[in-house]
Amino acid sequence: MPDTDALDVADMQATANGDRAAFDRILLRHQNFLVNFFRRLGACQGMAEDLAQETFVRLYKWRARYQPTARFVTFLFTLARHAWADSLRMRGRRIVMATEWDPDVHDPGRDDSARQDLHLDMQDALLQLEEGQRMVVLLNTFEGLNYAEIGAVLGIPEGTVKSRMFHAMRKLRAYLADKGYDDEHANNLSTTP
Amino acid sequence: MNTPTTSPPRLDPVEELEALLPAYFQGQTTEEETHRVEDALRESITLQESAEETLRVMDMLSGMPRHTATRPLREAIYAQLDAPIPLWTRLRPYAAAALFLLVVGGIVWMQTVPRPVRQTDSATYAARPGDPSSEATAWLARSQHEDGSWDVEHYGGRRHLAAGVQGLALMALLQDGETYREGVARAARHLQGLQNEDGSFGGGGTRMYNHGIVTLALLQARRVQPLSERESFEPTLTKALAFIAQTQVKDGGWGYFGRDLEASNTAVSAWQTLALQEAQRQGRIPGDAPVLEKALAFLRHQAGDGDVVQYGTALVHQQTEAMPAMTALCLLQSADPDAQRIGRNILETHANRDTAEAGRLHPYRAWFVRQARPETSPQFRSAVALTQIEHGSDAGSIPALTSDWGHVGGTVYATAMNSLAVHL
Repeated sequence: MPDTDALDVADMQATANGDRAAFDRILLRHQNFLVNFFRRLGACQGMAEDLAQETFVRLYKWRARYQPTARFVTFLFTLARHAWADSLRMRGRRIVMATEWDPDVHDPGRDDSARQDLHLDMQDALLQLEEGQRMVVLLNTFEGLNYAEIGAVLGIPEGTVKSRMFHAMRKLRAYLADKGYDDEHANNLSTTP
Repeated sequence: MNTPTTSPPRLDPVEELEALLPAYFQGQTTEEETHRVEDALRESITLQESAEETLRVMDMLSGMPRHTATRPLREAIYAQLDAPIPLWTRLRPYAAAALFLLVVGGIVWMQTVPRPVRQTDSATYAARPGDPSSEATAWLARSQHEDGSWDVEHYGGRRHLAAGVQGLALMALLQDGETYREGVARAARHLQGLQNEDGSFGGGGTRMYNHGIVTLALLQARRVQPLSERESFEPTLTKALAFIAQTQVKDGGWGYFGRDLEASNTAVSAWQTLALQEAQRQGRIPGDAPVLEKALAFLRHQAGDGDVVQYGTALVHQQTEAMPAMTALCLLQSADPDAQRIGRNILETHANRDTAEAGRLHPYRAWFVRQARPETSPQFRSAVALTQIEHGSDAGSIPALTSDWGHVGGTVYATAMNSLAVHL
């Protein structure tokens, strides 16, 4: 399997030298991760795509100054976080929450009601978290960033990342318990064998 | 840049270990931390339970479906990058300086020149305290009867619309479902009790309006219940959704009465479609269910390319104000990129119309626009706040005749619809 980070770094350097095909490859590799990130933060589909677009525009403008001091995704999600914060500021924090309508939580082959309930409840649970906690959970769970990388993206010490993760997990556990997800439910719906 | 989060409290030694659990399960702990966690896990049943629960939540999180882009971002990105810098952007620093001078001059003028008092300007609206949506919802909660119903007729609404109006009131309570948990449960029970033998809600010439709204409200209410309570919704919702499927007209839409061979119309069809889409989100019907596909095809046909949205009956053929927004919302919620494109076109063409003009509110249209687009118009919000009763037992309610359709829906309708339309 190729080292994605090495590919990203090479493509960023090629982009800096004017190679748009290299930028296309970065876009293809990461656009869905960004859309998912913004959706899970609470944006509707249209806004998530707009924010992903904005993040890539910023990435392109940074191409000449980019230095590969850390994993590329750390840099990308730093830009994404800034795009999100700017968007909140511009919209006065009026972001439509994804649970209001969420057309594309399709999971073909697993579309039974109980599983769909779980996915919607999980999204509701995520939206109960403070934004900083939600960011930590998303970057860790969905994007696979480790605590040090999350700290770099959010501009906070690693210990704070750990603490936010702890409080987020407690809240998620309490929320799901309140909804009635006990051991039996969880085992029935478990995503792993 | 600061994320808006309060700094977390310091962790005690047990919490410190618990905090390490997610990292431990992901192999991100140091050797020393790994030993600490494993030693504690051997000795502490509490930590073992915590570990199991944490693992379960992490498993649930990682099992969530991933969202993907539904439109090609590449072209839009390059179009943005390659666009020439607009004149406005180049002039912006000068404009900012001019604006600054204007503001300073204005302040000096306001302090030196006596001003006549104006009755209704935007500053007056903005000065009204409170959140109009939550105040409206609080009135709905206060006016709800013990059995979960609202006396729609007492507040000037028509009897044949009572079911739908109460469905809207339930949707308004659901905006703050935690606060009104008990009221939501009572309203849901009451609405379930209104179901007719054939699965429908309401009757007469507006049966399908009532039916679509109540079905949507009950689907939403089911979602906020604990798992143990959701089962009680099943018979009602199964029958209600079957009724929608049974009454679909050949062209894919629905008419007023829910009968075969009836002419479809866009508004009634949009409510049934919204209920079906909510059912699809909850996994009750598949995404490619023929009833939903036909409904969306009908709405697409009504919308054309988004310029004009037809109401679509032989009797009533004009385009009403809310029609484009209703259609846009349904199309935007579909998984079909082309339908979404038409939805966006409709919004761009129609959504900027005033939702409050000359003392008249259009909450019905405003709600659909707000559902389809994240912003709530501040002017509309101010206008709603201005019409809201301030004092007495009806404080928070919105008089029926200030709002479109208030003359038939009454105060419960006007209050619920406006609350939904301005909720942030």
